[in-house]
Amino acid sequence: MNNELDVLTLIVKKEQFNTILENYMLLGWTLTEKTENNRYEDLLDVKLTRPHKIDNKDDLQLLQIYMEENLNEQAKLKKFKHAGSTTFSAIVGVLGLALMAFGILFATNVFQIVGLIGGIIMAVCGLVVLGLQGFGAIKLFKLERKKFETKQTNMQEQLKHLQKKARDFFGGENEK
Amino acid sequence: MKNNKYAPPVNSGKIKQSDHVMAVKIKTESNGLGALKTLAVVGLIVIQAVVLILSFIYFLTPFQWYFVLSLVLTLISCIHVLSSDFHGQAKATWVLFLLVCFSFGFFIYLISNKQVLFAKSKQKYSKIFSNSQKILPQSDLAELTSQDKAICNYLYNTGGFRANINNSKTTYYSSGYQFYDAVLDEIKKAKKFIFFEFFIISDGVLLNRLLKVLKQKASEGVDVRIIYDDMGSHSTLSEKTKKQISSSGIKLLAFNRLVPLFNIALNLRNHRKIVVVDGLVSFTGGTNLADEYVNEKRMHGYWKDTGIKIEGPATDNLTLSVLHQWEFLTGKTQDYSQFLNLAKQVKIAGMVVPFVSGPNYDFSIAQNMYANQIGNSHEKLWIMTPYFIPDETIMNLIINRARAGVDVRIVLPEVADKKFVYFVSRNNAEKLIKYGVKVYTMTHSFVHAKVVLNETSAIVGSINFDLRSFNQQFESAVFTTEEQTRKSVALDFENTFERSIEVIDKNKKRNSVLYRIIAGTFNIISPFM
Repeated sequence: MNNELDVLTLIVKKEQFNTILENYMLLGWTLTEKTENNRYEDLLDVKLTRPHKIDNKDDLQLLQIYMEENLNEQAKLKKFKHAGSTTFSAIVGVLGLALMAFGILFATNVFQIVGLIGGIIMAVCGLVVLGLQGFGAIKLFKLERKKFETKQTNMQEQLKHLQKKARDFFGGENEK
Repeated sequence: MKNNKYAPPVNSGKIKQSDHVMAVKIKTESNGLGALKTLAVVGLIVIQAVVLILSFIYFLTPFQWYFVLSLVLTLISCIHVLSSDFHGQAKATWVLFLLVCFSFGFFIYLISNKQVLFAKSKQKYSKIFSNSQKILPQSDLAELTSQDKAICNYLYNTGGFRANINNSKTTYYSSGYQFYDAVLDEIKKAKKFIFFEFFIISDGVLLNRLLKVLKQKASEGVDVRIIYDDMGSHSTLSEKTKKQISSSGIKLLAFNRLVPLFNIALNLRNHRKIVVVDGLVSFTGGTNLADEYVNEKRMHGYWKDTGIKIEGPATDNLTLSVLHQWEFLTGKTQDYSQFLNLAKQVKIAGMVVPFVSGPNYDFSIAQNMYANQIGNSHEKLWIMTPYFIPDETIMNLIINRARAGVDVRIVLPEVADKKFVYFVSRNNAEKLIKYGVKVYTMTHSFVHAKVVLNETSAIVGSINFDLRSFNQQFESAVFTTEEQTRKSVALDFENTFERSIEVIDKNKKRNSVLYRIIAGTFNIISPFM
């Protein structure tokens, strides 16, 4: 029992393997196996072990969950960094283009003065909408980047705090 | 444990980019299949209801007699509900259900009613109890305060649970990992018998670790017995493992089998968690025998659970309760004396009363003990529970304590295991905030612990703060006044508060109208949750 090991099997993003492993090592885990995932090229199957009897195990388990949540939240944040501006651009862009297309169609196919003026107005409106889309998207993009940077900084700070806590449990020995 | 999502594709060649966003994923992590399962079950229920209604309409004309009969049976069922000993909300829910589903509701009432299907079993239990319930003589209560004396008398008079005064020791464990390591240490020392009684037993690392020792002990001639609940362990304990256990000389029994011809109402489940070793040491708590309870498997974030060890004569209360269950399941009477009065006294100040509850007793011991614990709080009342669905009596008691200036705090999970139940639980707890109750949710965690602490005593066990635990399930717990244990429990609460977020007006879920509507709707069926 004293020599018994706890085993943890993970699936991790290849590009983040080193960062992730570093965090797990701080929690007392040791890498025992690293293999390519059978299905996806960007994933790795990882096996870690740690002695079953370990001081402050409950705290470490909880800390591990916090770290995992943090890492996953950061990944999610990165992936959806510009989700808002992209969605905005797509919807407003389609609307602007549609207005322009209808305007041109209207102006060229309805042979009346009302049709011509209406068509031109629609096309101009579409152009304005496209302009607004460009302007709005840039604004939103910048806003999102700022928001992302602030959030990411906060999350990284949180992660550092968690890492410090983990180091404190082992008195720094787990960094070797 | 390998998730199919990560299995090789049918066609050879790998996919360049995986579709999941997360940087790291524990292989045992919940993959959302629970929600799919729930949806499937709800879907099937809806289909069944539609088929029943359509058949009813179709057969209405040629089978008018059924229409009349169902109305009569519904009326009889309603009268039965109203004259039963159900509490107010359960009565209202049942009557509403019977009236809405009048064509088939009476049948569901019949198969789930403990007074109907459990009657025979209750008789069987009564017979077992009449022979041995008060086999343990009550201790001398002269030195106790009137408050403690009343609790001891209540537990002895309702269930024959002996009060153990200054002779038994309890040790509190603030996690499943600590609890099972202590269990393992004790079962390794066993010489005569080991009893396990659990709601969930699941294949996995923890069971393997325990079975290794249990098989060894069985081969040495130790009497090893395991009782598991057939619904709780359904789909978690494989037939292969069951065969393996039985063939190794361990006696394995299922409680309330999931078979079409049942003799106990299906919803009456054995939710107890008990381990007894040689009659010297025993354990109970919230932890089932499955990997997620010791965080070896990830289900809903960090799994917060608790347990308690009992050393000394107090162990007899739990030994006796397991023997009662064994006799009920096997139908064979046994000589109890060889399993009782084996423990030496442990000199320690305080009172320890392990107790069990269930529909086999005439009173809801679990609910009444919680009510006592709440009523007897004058300075603090700290509650940790995964589900918070009490009836009006308990809610009013808590409100009264808070209004009287008692420091009332409730810790709930932040991560839900059953979303609908969590909706109702959180809604109920948030309702208490305006009366001065502090509500906490433990971050990134599922709190499965069931602990109630006041300034003089603690109850640690398997009893949830819900109507199922109070009225329908077989539960186990320990009432203790030991100072060291109370301190350990208090420390665990303080640590948990630090790891929790307090629910205040700003972050109340009830602030959303939609949430209140959903929670209110589910609250109607809370007696069944």
